[in-house]
Amino acid sequence: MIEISPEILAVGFLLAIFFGVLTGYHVALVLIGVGTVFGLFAMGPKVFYLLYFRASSMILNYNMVAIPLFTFMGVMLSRSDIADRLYHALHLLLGRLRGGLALSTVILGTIIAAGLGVVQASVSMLTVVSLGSMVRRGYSKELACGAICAGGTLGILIPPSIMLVVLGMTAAVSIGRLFFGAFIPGFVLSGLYLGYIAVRSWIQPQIAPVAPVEERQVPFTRKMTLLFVSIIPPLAIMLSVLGTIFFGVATVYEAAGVGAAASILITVVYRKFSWNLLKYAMRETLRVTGFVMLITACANATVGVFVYFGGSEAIESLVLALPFGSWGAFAAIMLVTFILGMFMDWISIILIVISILIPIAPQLGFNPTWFALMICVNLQMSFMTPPLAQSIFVCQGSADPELGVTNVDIIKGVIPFILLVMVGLGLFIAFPDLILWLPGKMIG
Amino acid sequence: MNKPLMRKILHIIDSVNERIGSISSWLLLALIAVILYEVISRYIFNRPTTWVFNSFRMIDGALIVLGWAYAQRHNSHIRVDIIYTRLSLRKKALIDVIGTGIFFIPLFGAFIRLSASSVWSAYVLYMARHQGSIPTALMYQTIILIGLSLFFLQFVAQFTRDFHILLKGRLP
Repeated sequence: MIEISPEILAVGFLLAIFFGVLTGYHVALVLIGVGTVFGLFAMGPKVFYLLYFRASSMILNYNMVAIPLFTFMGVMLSRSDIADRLYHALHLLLGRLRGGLALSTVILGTIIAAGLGVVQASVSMLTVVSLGSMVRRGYSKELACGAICAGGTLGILIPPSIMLVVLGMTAAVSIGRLFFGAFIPGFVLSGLYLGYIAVRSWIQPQIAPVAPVEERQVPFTRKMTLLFVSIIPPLAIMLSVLGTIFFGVATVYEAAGVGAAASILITVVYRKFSWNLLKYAMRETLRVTGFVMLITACANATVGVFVYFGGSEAIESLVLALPFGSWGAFAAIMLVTFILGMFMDWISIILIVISILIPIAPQLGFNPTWFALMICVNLQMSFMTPPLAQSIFVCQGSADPELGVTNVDIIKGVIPFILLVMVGLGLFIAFPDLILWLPGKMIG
Repeated sequence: MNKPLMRKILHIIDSVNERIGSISSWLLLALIAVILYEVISRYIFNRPTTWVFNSFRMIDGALIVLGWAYAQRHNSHIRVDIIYTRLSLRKKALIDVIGTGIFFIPLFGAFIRLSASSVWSAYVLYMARHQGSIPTALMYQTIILIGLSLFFLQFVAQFTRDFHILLKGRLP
């Protein structure tokens, strides 16, 4: 066998993946295909055993049980009328405020979209539920679409999120710690979005009119009933799932199982349960689990080859050789992730970038949990950045054509939110404890 | 092969995977039930079980591998589509034919062989012992083999379609 330095192999490997996925062939198969070719070169036919073993070990990994369960919970809560009901209740409560509907949209994204792991699912859910009512009440399309894209993208960061489950597996960081690491950043971003909407609609009342008086004249008791009946139960599910993990009462997958059961219960209690909804949610869960796990298993297999020929050490030495010390390396990694995030799904990015780079984090002097979550926050921004922004495409794709929302409206709308994510990133760099404090308080 | 027969076979593969997907999606309820059982017996009756851990891993494993085939049936495996969506039907088919022909079929063919041989050795081991319940290893391996085969079948169906598009410019 010819001797080629691991640096060249490693760079060739990553370039092969990069150009392979650009063709548009299934990312999972490009990953494992590149792994096979390089593996055959580095170790001969026994690569098939390595790949098979590493792929099937992912299938039987007990942490992965959380993925179908959280997906199911998210689909049940967002596809029953619970999301509409919650939105309506928030609207009545916040109707007095300028920009109340946009605020409700972000809150809905924060609470309900949490279980939906895929950007497409949470943004399209918010578009369907909220875009029409905002535009019809005279909201500017820019503000409406911006709130939808930002709220929906935020959904994948806020726990319980399947992105964090996959991240934990890839980065070998405790999933529970990641959940709580993402908790405060998620709410900081949510708070920044809400603050921006409130201030902007206070300055420019015409872009976010107050709800008409007849819609607002709801007695106080009715508002309180709505609060308790519509908002508290879904919130309680989310918080109890997280709470049991936080206090070390249950494992992540047990909490996910209870959350999934509670999501069925809540549709029954609200009389929104139907067998069709259940069947839909189960099939959707099977489909999402299928594509998430194919790429996860294939990536895990291919990383085995990468590690075998010394690719990790090679990348490590290349990154450490970057100028401007560890922050220079950090900036380079963030930039690469940001660019990849414009056209790749978070799954591909986490499985490729994080699995290769996370071992370097301690050497650069960064906490792995912080490092991994910074990449997740960064992705929030890249999903909204034109010209290739997944959230924008989905929002436009699922908008009712009658509303006449254009690409330009959405792009103008998301720009302030992108700036807010940058503010968030700055905050988390300046105060790493925003990410690290809560996981440190976990029990068990 | 004559056309109606090919169309019929492709249709059968699609509907088999659709049906199996619909049926196996119910495993999710089984998964929830098993976890709830464990949670209740551990936290309420303080009697943790040992069988639950293996059984829910098995159910989840089945959901995952059967999900591969089901996701392929609905063409939802992740692609980076910035260039792909702008291509003509024929060019898309060309990319898929090359990818599937060169990478998928040989590789997953090898995986199915490996999986079948591990099922076989687990089976031989089980028969040699002449006792006890079916070992979990045998069940895991069998589930993986079934899932891989269905997934492979669905891919071959798609491959045939793409090949037809490449030659004739339209679906069979």
